Amino acid sequence: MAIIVNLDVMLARRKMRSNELAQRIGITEQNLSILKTGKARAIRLSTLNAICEHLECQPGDILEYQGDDSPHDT
Amino acid sequence: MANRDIQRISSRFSILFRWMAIATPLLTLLYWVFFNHLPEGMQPLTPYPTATIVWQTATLAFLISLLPGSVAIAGLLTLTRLFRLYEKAIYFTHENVRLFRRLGILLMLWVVANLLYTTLLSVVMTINNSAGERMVVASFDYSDLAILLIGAVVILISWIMEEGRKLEEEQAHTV
Repeated sequence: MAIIVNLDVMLARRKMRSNELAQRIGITEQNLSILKTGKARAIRLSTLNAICEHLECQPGDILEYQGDDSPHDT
Repeated sequence: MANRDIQRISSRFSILFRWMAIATPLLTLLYWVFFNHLPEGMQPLTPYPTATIVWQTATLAFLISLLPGSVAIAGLLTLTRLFRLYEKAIYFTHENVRLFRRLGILLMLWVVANLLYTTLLSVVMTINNSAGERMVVASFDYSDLAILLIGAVVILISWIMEEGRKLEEEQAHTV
């Protein structure tokens, strides 16, 4: 999949642990792990909303598209 | 609550089918061992009149009975495994689909095995008769056709369950 999830980066910036975020947004740690490791096939808008609310960020800070032709961020 | 009902009833079915799988070969063996002593009113399985049979015939008949018998046992064991999965609230996995498909195939195989059983049994049971009284019987009736159709339907349902599996997998990976 070409969508990259940069959740680890945002968690590090906000100095928050995965289990803490999972608890705050009301999903299991396993589900958050599925998201972090890129195994998720879909994300609910409600989950994305909750993540952005608690990490005080934009969806674009967490989700990145890297197609075959897309240039990598520097 | 419905989930708990499924699990509870599935547990009972799993036990029932397991015991049926054990009982089937035993009852078949007992039938042929005591064929000559069957109580009055208990109709023999053979469609032709037989008085008593020698032990060699009974042994051959028992072995031939294992043709449909083994298909039946395989079917009962498949049902045992399937309901054990339902007992654990596992409904749409590769294993569920595989067992369902297997059930459909076994139903169709049963018809073939039963046809062979009838034919071979007729030969074995009448081979010692005098000339003109030996028979070869082949039987295929509406009930066999119905079982074939049911087998085909079960296989089709397994394809639908495969779609269900994909949906569940999708759901499991939706955060």
